[in-house]
Amino acid sequence: MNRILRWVLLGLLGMGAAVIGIEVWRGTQTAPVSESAEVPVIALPDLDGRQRDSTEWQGRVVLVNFWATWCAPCVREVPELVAAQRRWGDQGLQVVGIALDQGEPVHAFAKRMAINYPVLIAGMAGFDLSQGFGNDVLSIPFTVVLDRTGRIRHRHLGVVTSAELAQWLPPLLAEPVAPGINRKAE
Amino acid sequence: MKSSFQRPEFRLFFLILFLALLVPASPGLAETGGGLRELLGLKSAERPFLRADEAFTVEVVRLAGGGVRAQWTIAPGYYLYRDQLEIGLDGRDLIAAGQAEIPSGEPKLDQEFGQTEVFHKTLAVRLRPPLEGTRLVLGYQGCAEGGICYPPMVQTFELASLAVVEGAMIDEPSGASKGGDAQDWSADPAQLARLLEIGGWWSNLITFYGLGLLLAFTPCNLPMIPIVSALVAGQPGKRSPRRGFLLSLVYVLSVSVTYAAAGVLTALLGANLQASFQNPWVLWIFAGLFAMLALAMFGLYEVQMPSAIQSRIDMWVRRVRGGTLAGTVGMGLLSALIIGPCVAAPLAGALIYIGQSGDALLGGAALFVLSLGMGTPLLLVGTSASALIPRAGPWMIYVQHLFGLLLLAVALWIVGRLLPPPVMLLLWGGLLVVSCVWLGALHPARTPARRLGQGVALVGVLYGAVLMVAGTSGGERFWPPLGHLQGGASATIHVPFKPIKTVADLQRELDGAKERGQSVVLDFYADWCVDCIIMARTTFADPRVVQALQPVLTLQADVTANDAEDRALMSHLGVIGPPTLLFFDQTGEERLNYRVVGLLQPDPFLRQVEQALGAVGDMP
Repeated sequence: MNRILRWVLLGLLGMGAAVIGIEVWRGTQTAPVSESAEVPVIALPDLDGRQRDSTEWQGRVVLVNFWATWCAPCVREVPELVAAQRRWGDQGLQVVGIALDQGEPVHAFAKRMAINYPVLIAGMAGFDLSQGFGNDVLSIPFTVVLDRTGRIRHRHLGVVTSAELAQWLPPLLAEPVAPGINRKAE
Repeated sequence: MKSSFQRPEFRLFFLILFLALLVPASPGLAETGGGLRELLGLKSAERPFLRADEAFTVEVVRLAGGGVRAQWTIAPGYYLYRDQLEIGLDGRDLIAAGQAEIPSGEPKLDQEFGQTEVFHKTLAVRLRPPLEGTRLVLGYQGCAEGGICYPPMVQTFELASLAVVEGAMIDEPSGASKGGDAQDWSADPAQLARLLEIGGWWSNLITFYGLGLLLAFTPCNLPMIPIVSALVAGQPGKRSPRRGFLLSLVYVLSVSVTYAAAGVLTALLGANLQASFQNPWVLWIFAGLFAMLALAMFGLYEVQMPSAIQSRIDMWVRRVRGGTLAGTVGMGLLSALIIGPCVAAPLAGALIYIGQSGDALLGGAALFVLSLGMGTPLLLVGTSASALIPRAGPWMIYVQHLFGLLLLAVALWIVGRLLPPPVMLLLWGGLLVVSCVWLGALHPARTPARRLGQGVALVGVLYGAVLMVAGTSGGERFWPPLGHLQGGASATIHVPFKPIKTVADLQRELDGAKERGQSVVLDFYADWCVDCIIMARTTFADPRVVQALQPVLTLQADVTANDAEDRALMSHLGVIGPPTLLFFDQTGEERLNYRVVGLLQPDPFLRQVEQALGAVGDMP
């Protein structure tokens, strides 16, 4: 009796510790996405009013970043993305910014931050678009990374760090473009 | 059955059961929705962030006394921007019309946007009559501290269908209704944070570990270490060092778990008591408490658990068999409850401090590391590395006294916001002198090292004495302490407020100012209002503020008495209470939308003055 109780007690303590440990661990994880969900098509005007389309970046690793000038964390993240485009652009990375914003402030901002990737103007409708990419909480900054075949491989709500980018992008960039495979043919 | 109930394991089991039941029952947790993750301060893994409608909810009621109140409830860790608020009635902007009483927010420095004002926890906005119209539209936008932002949200309410609650515009919202039970005190958490600034997370943990280590060297702990070690890990030599270390570690961790539980509970309790930490009297009582605990450390009397309880627990501990893992766990959990006189007072102090933070995670973690600190020497002994532990001796009394001085410093720190700066300077100086004398500033020193120490201590005594001189002569600064004595120019300056009392006084002053084409600033002040006192010392003593207000007629209504005339003046202007600042332009009209409720630092104040009254400096 005595001995059993002791073990029950120890077991309880151990379980408590395990639960806490797992919760902490899970809190730090943003699990990579592997399901092959239908990826929405992006078709929006850019800063010059030109209509842009996601077929344009086919075969590249595309990082789609939903952001806005009125969102402080988003704005903090922009230099990271500019640096990523500079670093991995010639290896096949294409960063695409989707501004949930009006055109004018974005224009001024893009100039000031020397943004080196296309910025598309979506207005508040961009939140619906981001939901299509899996942004259930409907908040920004929200970032998805598509591999060369157009599948979503990473989803991230909140600011992305350069460490995360360095962890996600090189393996995807190293993947070959399978000939004849486009985004819908899986 | 009876005999097995008396087994320590059983009691332990019931103790844990009791704690487990207690945690969800505590109101602090119920408020945040419960759950282990929230208790640990973690967010859910699948949904690390709340949805906008979960993070921000708004409730609108019509007040029986006229007007409407909109109350936002903001989830912990989320905030709303003050300048993103939009309040419209049938397309008419109520904020621009000056009909929305929006409290001033907590300043937040955004790297990108500069200084902004935000609201945490709750925001209550009162809308003043006349509210002619049908559709009330509230627009708001917020972010999470975790680094995401939500889209601007818009909610529409039909005025006619709003619930009506008792209470007029001038009532405090908390007393008004059930809708107000979202605790008025938390309407301005910044105020609390300013009153009792709780330091950073890591600095707190490191401090607590250090304090724990220090506590291990008090007279009731250090001599006990070899005994406890023998009980827990067996005699050194008989067991392998690894086994000894393992058992000691298990013991120390078990003790720490109990301490952590105490920390969590206190913090949760404190979270519900935070309202009272606003009150100067409560602060005085707490300071007194710390001073009394300090005296206990100097040996004037003893603070400890009643000996009946102690011997009871001691009995349980003795029944548990040492040397086995499970037994050691039980021993650790139980023996944490035996709290000797050296530890009781500092522990009470630590718990009070944690209680003020109201942060369960910090509370648990801080007490956990405190206990780890206390257990560190035991770990060393358990591994037969006892050579590293200093020998017990009379010097341990010094450690105990050191805690007394620390507790006194905490007491001073608490009342620091309530007493005039010169008095504080005097008190700090006094404490410094006492501490340095205690360090041996006046003892005859024999060895060179001691002489050096004595010299340093003497420097401390001299500086403390200078601080006391500065304090008694009205100085306010630690450095240069005597700066205020040179020349009259640098003497304390203050906005020259002209006191007014009644509505008639105000009218007379406004008329006079109108004739002279002068703008007017009216400040509501009271002795019992901590923020008012802070403003009097900081904002209104800032040379730039004094300069900016030079051409303005500055009036002050002291509503300390809160008598009929005071109340009449406040209700005449629709002022809820001090501190409130009102701006009147040269025509005697109040610039309603620039009204400021709550504490305002010099820089935002200057901006406010500039916006409300234009370039006042240009006036003739």
